[in-house]
Amino acid sequence: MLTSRGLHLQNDSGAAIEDVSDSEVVARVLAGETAAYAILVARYRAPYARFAARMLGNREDAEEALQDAFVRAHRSLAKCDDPERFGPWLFRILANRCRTAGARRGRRDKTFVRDEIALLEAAHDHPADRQAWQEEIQLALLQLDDDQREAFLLKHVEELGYEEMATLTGVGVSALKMRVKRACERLRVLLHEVYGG
Amino acid sequence: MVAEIERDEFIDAIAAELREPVRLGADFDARVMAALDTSVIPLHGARELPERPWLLRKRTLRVSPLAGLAAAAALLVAVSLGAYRVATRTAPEMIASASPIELTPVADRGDGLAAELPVPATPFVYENPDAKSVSVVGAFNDWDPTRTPLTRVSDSVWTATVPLMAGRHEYQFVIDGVRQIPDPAAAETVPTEFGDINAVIVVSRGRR
Repeated sequence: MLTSRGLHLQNDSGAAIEDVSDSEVVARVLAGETAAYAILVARYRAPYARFAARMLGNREDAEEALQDAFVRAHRSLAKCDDPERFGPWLFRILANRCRTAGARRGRRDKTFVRDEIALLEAAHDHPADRQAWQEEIQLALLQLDDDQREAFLLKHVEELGYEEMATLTGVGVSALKMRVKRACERLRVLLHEVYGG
Repeated sequence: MVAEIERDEFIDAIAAELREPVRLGADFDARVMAALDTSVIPLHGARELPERPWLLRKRTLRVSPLAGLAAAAALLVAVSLGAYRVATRTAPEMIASASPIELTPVADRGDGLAAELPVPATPFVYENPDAKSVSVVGAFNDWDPTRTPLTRVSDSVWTATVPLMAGRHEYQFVIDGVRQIPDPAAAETVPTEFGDINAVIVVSRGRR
C-alpha cells in the first residue's frame, strides 16, 4: 500500500521506522537542519533500492540512481508541494532517474541482482537452483519494455493499487492495466521457455 | 478498459522472488548526506530577509564611458599600491594581522604536514533508538568523546558533520559516554592494537 511515506516502510533490519511525519522532516530540512534529511534517507532507501535494482538489473546502478534521486529531491525540496507525500514525490524522481539510466545504458549490458545474503536466508531446496531461478526472472524482467517493467513491479512487487500507480507515474489506469497485462504475458512466455512450466 | 489481471501462482512466485531485499552499501546514507548541496536550502528565516538599511541598499549607477575609464585606472593604481605594501611586509607582521581563523584538527598523515584545508561537512550518521548520547571519536579530535557529539535528529537517527582532511580516518562511536563501538555501517573496519575494531572513513579531495 502506498502511504504518505511511500512504499513499504521498514528499515534494513525490518523494524518499523520511527513515527515522525515526512512533512515535519521536510520543514526541518528547509529550516536549515540538513542533518534531518538523514531520516528521509533511512526511511526510503530500502524499498526504493529494491525498485531501482529490479528496474536497472544491478545493485550498483540502483545505488547510483537512488543516490542521485535523493540528492535531486533535496535540491528541489522547496518545490515539493505536498511535503506529507514526500515519498511518492521522491519515487517519481527515482523512476525518472531509472528511465534515464536504463536508456543510457542500453539493453546490451545486462547483469543480474545477486543478493547472496538473501539467497542464503531463503528457504529453497538448493541455493544454486534458487540463484538460477532468480537470474532467469531478472533476465526476463529486463527483456520487458521499461514501461511494462515499471508497471509490473509497482503492481505485483510493490503491490500498489492502480489508482496509486496512476498517481505515481502520471499514466492513466487503463494504460497501466494494459502494461501489467502484457508484462505478465511476456514473463509467462519467457520463463516458460526456460522451465517449460 | 482492460480487465485486471487475475493473480496466479506463477506471477505470485515471480513477484515473491523480486521482493527479496536489495542491500545497499553500508555507507549509502553517509554518501548521500555528503553529496547534498546545502547551499540550495535557505537557512531559517532567510526567505524573509529584512529590508536593508538605506546605506546598504542595492543601487544602479550609470557611468559614462570616459568616467568608467578613469575609475578603472584609479582602481588599478589602488590595487598596485596595496600589492606593493603587502609584498614589503615581513612575515611576523602578516601573522599578527591575520584574521583569527581556527582550523579544526586535521588528519594525522604521518608526515607532519597539514598543507590541505579540511573538507567541510563530512557526515557521520548512526542509528540507535536507545542511546541517550552519541559522539564520534578519532584522531581528528584526539579520541575525545566530549568534542564531537552527534545530534539526535529523530527517534533513532544521530548525525554530526565534521571537517576532515582528505585521507583515511579511523573512528568509533561512543554510546552514552561508556560504550565504544565501530560504526556498524562503515564500509571498512580495521583491528586496533588494543584488540578492538575501528571503523574507517575515506575522505577524498573535495567530496567523499
